[in-house]
Amino acid sequence: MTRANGPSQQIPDPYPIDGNVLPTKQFEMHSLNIMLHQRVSTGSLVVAGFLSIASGCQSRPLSWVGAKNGAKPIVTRLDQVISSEESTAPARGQVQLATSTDGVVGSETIGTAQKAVFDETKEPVAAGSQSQVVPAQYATKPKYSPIGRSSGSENVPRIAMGTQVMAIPPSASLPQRQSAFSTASHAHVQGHSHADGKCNCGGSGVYKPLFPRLSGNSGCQSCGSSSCSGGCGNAMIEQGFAVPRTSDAQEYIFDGGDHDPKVRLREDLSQAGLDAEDTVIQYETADGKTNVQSGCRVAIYAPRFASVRKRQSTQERDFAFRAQTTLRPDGPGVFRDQLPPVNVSKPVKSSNSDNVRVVEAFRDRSRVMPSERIIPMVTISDAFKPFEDFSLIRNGDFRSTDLARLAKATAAARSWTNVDELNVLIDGQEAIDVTGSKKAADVTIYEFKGARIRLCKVASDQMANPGDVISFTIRFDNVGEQPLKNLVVTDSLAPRLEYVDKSQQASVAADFSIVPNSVGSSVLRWELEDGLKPGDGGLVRFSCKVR
Amino acid sequence: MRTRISFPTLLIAWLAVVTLCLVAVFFSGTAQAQPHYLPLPSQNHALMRDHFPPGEIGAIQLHRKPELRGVWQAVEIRGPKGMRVNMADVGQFAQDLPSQARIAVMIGPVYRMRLTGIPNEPEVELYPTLEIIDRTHPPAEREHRFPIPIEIDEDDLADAARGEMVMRVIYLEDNQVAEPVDTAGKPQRVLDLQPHQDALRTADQLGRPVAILRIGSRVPNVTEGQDWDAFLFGSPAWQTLKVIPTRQQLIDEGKWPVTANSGSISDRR
Repeated sequence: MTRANGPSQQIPDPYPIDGNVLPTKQFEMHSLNIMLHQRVSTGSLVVAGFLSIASGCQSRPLSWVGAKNGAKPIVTRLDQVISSEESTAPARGQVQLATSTDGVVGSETIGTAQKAVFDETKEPVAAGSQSQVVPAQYATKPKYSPIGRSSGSENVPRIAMGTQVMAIPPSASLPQRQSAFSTASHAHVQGHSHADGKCNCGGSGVYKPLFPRLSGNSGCQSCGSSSCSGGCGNAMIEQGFAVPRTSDAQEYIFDGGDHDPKVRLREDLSQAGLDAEDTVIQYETADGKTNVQSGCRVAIYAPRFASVRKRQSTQERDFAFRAQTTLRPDGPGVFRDQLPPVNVSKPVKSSNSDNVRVVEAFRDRSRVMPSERIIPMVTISDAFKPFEDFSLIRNGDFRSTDLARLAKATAAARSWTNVDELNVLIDGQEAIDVTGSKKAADVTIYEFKGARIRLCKVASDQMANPGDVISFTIRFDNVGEQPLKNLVVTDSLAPRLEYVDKSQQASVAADFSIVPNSVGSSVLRWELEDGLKPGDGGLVRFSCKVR
Repeated sequence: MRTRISFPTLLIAWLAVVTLCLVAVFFSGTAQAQPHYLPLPSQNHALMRDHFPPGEIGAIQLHRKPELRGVWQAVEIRGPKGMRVNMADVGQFAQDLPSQARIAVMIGPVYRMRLTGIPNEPEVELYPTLEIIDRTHPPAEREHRFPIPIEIDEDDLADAARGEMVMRVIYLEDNQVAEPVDTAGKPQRVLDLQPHQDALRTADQLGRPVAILRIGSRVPNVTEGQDWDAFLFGSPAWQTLKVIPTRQQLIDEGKWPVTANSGSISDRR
């Protein structure tokens, strides 16, 4: 198989002229009439011949069509003459269309050029040098690709549900069906060889899964053979990759913190900007200033689903169209008025990831805990519940040994707070993103002179379904130097939380009131009768039902 | 008689001609560019519509979000009492799923089901399709507790048996703006749309669409040349989730501490 040298090759003239070729100078004759008179037949033939050749050079080579149909190619180019052998056997590194016996046209790539791209280190394996055993599971595959279906236990697709799924049925149970795309999807690469020099991967082709696999040592991914050593590096096959665990804020019920707009106090000390999910404490310092401090944020995984339904039929469509549009407004306008439009494209990463921080970000800034800070449980009916029975809730003393307990036992406490700014604990789920983690140098400076209060909120469950009852506990501590008075703890519940009547408890004397908020839930308000001396604290507790 | 034209006059005339040409070119260009400055339509063009054939939206989602590939998503198929559900598996319909079965399906492919035992229609068989187009993100090892509920009520079955095409788009509500209604122990809330409204777009405005259920009256007709494999959409893989014992079963087995306020309602599943 040699490539013809175009310019030196004798070109068969499709429009031969009988030896009477006009010299060029004859076109310079002054008398056109004479020329037309004498040479009209020969000149027109020459011009027509040039025009035909020129048009043939610009057209698509007809040899491709001939090769595809198995016919002898027609030579139409002047500088590149492709013989019939070349049209059926391409040069190395050249892609051509090949016709199989059943008429299905597949694509094959053979040659060193492909090898240089995919695998530069391995040498091609000579034909017949190694016997390839084709696994039985790749012999035939379903016509429509069963996405993610694997044939062997070592080639199972990525399973994101841990051990909750059972084993995939063995490939022997797959029906023996003719694969429609097997030949078309069969990609030969350099070095892919078999015993007889031909491809016998399943007889008709290779099943190439659509989705990546986790197993990196599953052997040849193009032929499915575990013993293939020919450097089967098909760049078109996707490799398995680890997907970071993501989350969606829509699936969580948040409670706590202070969203924008922040809570501000009016002149009459009423609160403005108290949105749903906000939890703040209001206090008056010794010098007469009234401040507002927000607490930590609690996240509870509680997705809720609903559906929209549309019925269509050819008979009632027109009738329903006219009848319903005259009786009621067009569509769910109520929902559109209340809900902001949400685009189809959602961010892959959770939008609330900036609020998530790691456990290690917490640094205790409270001083030595005096004994009088231990809250006597005189006003609370029962003892501490399991999720709140640790030293921070019990007596306001944060211990480093409680970090794990805090993350584990205080279920749903994804956020935390200390004196100055918010920290977040992640409970029951992996850290999504770490932003704003405090370093040790950030917490070395501490001033005890100001009026500071710490608000901490924990929940009994980190996940819930509609109907579940969740208990919340709010702990507040005066960690400053000044005595505080006129304290008011306010919690505006999320729309999916319903306050359980008569479930609130407080460790200090407080007036409890409940008013509805703007999202259809409630605002819980505790007005403490007594102030808090430096080092004192207290807690309130209530329960909510998940709607 | 020839009139002699002075050079300034000729120059002014020449400049006037050039100016007119420039003005003409400017206005012609402005006229041509005018369509490019037309205001955009008030409503954006939706990428996906509900009249797409089954599998199209899932394919688009997989293209847009490659991380959805290979992810198992738990779903729970609920129906009226007596209804039996068979999932297509390896070219045929598998055995009956237990009541309120929780299975794990993949995002993207279309699952063909067979519904029998329809109330008031014992002879009718329906073959709905289920397409999961997005996932949820439950805590690790707790995926079985939070499946996507696929609820089929009697109205859906009756309408489909009558020849209508019923399309349900299940969406995840945004908890921050969710309706403050109690849904515990109640059927799934359904918003009925008119035929000219786009179900997918409406669901997208209300939340995040995660699944599409299409119930029609189409039945397989292999004897007339219908491709059985195409009817089953290639029988994509699905798995049965582990059965979670109820709270009463755990109490009977002595594995549940019987206390006053222990556990929650969701633990009963």
